[in-house]
Amino acid sequence: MNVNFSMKMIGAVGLMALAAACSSTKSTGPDVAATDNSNTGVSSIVAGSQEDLEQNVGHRVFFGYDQYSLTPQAQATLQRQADFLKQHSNVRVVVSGNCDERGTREYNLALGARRAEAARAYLVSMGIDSSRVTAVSYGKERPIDPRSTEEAWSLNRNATTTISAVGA
Amino acid sequence: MRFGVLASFLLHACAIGLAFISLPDFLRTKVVEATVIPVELIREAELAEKTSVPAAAPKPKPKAEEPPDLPKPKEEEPKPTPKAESEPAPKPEPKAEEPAPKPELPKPKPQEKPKPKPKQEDLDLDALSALVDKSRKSDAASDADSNATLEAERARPAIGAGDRLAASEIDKMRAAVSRCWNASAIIGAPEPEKLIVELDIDLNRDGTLSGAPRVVNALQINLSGNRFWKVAEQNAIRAVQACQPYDFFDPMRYQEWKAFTLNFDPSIMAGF
Amino acid sequence: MIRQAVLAILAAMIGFAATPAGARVRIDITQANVEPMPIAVPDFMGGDSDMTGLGRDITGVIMADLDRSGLFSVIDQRAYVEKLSSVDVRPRFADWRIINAQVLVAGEVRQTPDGRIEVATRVWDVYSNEQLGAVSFKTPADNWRRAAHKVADFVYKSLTGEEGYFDTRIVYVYETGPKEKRTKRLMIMDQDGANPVLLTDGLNYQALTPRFSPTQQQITYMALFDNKPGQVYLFNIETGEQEQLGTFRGMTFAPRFTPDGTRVLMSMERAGNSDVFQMELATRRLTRLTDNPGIDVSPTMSPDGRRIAFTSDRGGAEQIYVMNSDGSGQKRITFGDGRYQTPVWSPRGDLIAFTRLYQGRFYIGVIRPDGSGERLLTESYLDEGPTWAPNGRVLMFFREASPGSGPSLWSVDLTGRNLRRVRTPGDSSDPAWSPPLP
Repeated sequence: MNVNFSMKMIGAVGLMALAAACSSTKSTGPDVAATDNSNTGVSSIVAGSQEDLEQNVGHRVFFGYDQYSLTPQAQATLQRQADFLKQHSNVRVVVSGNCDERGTREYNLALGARRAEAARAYLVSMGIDSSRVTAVSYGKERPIDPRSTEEAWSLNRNATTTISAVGA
Repeated sequence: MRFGVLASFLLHACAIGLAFISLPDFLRTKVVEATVIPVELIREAELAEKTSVPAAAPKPKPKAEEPPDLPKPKEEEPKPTPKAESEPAPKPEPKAEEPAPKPELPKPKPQEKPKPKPKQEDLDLDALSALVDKSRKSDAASDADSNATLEAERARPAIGAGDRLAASEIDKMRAAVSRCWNASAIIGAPEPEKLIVELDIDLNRDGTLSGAPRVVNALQINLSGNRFWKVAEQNAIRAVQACQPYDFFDPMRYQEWKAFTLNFDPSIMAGF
Repeated sequence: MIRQAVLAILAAMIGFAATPAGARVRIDITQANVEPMPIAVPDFMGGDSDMTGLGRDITGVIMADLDRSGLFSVIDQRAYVEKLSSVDVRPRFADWRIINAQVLVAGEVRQTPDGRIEVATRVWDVYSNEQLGAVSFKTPADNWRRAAHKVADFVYKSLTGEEGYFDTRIVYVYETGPKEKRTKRLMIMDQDGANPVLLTDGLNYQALTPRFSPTQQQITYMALFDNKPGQVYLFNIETGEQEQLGTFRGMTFAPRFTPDGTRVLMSMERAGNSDVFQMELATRRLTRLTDNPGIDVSPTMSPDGRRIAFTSDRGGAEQIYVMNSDGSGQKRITFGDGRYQTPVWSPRGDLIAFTRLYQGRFYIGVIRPDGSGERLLTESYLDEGPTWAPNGRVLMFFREASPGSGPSLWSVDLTGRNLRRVRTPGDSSDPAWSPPLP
C-alpha cells in the first residue's frame, strides 16, 4: 500500500477504487493506473526510495495478538531500516502502528501507538536521530489485507515504515 | 364555530350532570374534560439546514432563524373547558367526568347464568383476531427464546395457595393472569425488583370482576413518588381486567374462588 | 400529593373493611408476557383533505416509532371498529377492547390561524376507560415529523413512566470504499433513519468515534490523518464550524463529553503510552487523570459527575476500571474472562455498557458500576461501541455479523430484547445518540 500520496489523493483514490471494485475490470481511472506503475517498475528502483525500502530492506515488522514487543525477526528488519536511514541521511520516515480487526477502535488506536513507538524507539536506539522518525497509530483503520482470516490478521498487526520526506 | 362551542358547553353540562346519576354508556357524545396543553416545537428543517454545511469548508454559517421557538411557552389555548391537563408528569388525571361506579353497559354478559360463554358480538371475531395476531409480529429471534423460558418457569408450584382451592385451579388462575400481564415496560425500568403491586379482586359467579380491583399497597406506591411503580400498578390492573372472565372455575364451588389477592412481582423476570 | 395520600388511605381502609381476612386466595404472579403491548393508533383526524393526508403521515411516523421500541405492537388499522370523529370525544372503549387493544392513541391535526399546524393527542387506557394523558404540539407544517416523534415520546412516557427517545438524532461513521482505503465520514440522521446528512467530506481524514454533547448541538470526534497523529475535534452542528481541541504532539483520541457538557474526557498518547486526560472547554486547560504504564482509554463519566469509568490493560488483558473524577481511587470492576473495552456510563447512572471480547466473539453487555450484575445482551462476530438512548433504556451499537461483512447499526433493549437493525444508507459504525432535541 502506498501511503505516500498527498492527503487529497487518498480520498480520490478511495473513490476510484470503489468504482474499480464495482466494475472489477482493468479499465480503471488515471489515479489507480498511477498506483500500478509504482508497483511494476521493479527494475528501476531508485536507491533511498520507498521502493528500495520495501523491496530491499523490508518496511514492515509484525506483532503477535495484542502484543507490541519486537520479535527477533522484527529487530533484524529494524536493524536493516536503521542502516538504510544511515545511508540516506536526508530521508525522514513515519512509522505507523496497525492492528487487526479483533479489538475495538479506541483500544486499537492505543495499541497501534505502542507498536509504532516500539519500532521508532528501536530505530532511535540504533543511532537514528529521533527527529527523523515520527510514530503514528492507525489502529485497525488501515488494514493491508482486507480479509477476515488469521493470516490477514497477522499481516495487519504491524508497524510500517514509510518515507515521508526526502531532503534537508 | 360558535354553535360548536355552545353545543360543547351544553353537552359538558349534561355530561357532568348525568354523571351523578350513573350515565349509561349509550349516550355517545361525551366530551372530554381535560384540555390539551399545546407545546411549541422548533422546526426541524432549521436543525437540518444547520447540519448540512460541509465540514471541510468551515465557514461560519449564519443561523437561519433565531433558534427557539422552543417548547417552553406553554400557550394556553382558549378552550371551552378550563381544566388543564397536566403534561407529562404522571399526576392523577382529572377524572371528574367519570361516573363513579363505571357502568360498562355494552357488555352483554349475563350476570347469573351458570355456564357463560358469552362474548357474542355481531362481528367476525375470527377475522379480527387474525388481523390482530398478524400485527403482533415478533421481530427478534431472541424473543422466542425468552418466551420459551417463561413458559417453562410458569410450571412452578403454587405459593401461598389457599388450602381449599385445588392447586390446579390456582395454576390456571396464575397462568391466565400471567398471560394477560404485560410487563415488557416494567422489566426495563430502574430497580424493577421493587415494583411489586398487590391487587385484591372479587369475582362474580360468571368469572367476571365484580368491581374494580383494589390496590393493597396503593398508599406505598403513591407515597414513593416512583412513577415506574405507578405504571406497574396500571399494568397490573389492566392485566386482571383484560383477562376476565375467569370462567374456568367450578361454579358449584364459587365460595372458594370468589376472592383473590394477586401479588405481581416482576423481579424474577427482570433477572436482576 | 397529600390529597392523594388521604385518598389512598381511605381506599385501603375500605378495602380492609369489605373483605374478611382469610377468605382470599393469595397468588404470586411472577411471570408475565413480554410481548409488546397491543395498542391502537387510528389515523390522526384532519379537517380538510390536506390535514387528513398529513394526519396519515404523522400517524405512520408515530406507529413506526412505537413499534420499533419493542414495547408496543400497533394493531392493524383494518381491525378497528370505531371510527373516531373528534379527539375531544370520548371513545367507545368496548370497540377497542374487542380488538384486544390495551391502549388507544387518538389524535387530530388542525391548521392554526397563523398557518401552522397543531397536533393534539389523547392516550386512553381502554380497560380502565381513563385518559392517561393529553398533549398538543404546535409547529410549522414542514416540521411535522418532529411533532410526530414528540407525540410518540408522549405516548411512550404515558405508558412506561420513562422519557421517550424518539425525538432524537444519531451521529455515526458512514463508511465507503474498500477496507484498505476506507472513506469514513460523519453522518447525522433522525433516530428513525430519516433526514440523513453528511457532516464531513472524508477527503483529508477518517472521522471516528463521534459523541454528542449532552447540552449543545455539538459533537466531539477523532480525525485520523495520514502521517501525523490523529486528533480530537469539536464540531458545531448548527454552524458547521469545527476546531481541533488543543494541539498536541501525541495522538489524542477516544473523546467523550462530561455530562454537564463543560469538559471533554479523552485519551492522549505520549511516547506510545496512553493515559486519560480531561480538557475544560472554556479555558482549554488540560488535566491528567491517570498516569500508568498500561494503556488507559475510553473514559466515560457518571451522570452525577463524580466518577469515571475507563479501559485499562494495566493488569494484563483489558478490563474496566472506575475512579473518582479527580483520578483518585482507581479500582477494577470487571473480572471476567476475555477483554472488556469501551465502557459507556448510562445516562440513568445505574449501569455501564461495554464491549466484551471472549474466545473470538464480541458481546455488548451491561454491568453495575460496582462490578455486580454483569449481563451480556448481544453476541456476534463483531459487536462494538455501545451508545445509550437518553433515557438509558435502549442501546445502539455497530455489528459486523460475519467475517468480511460490512458494519451496520443495531439497537437492543437493555433487557436484551428487541434486537433490531437500524436503517442507514450504507455501511455504518460508531453510532452516538443525541440528547433529546430542544
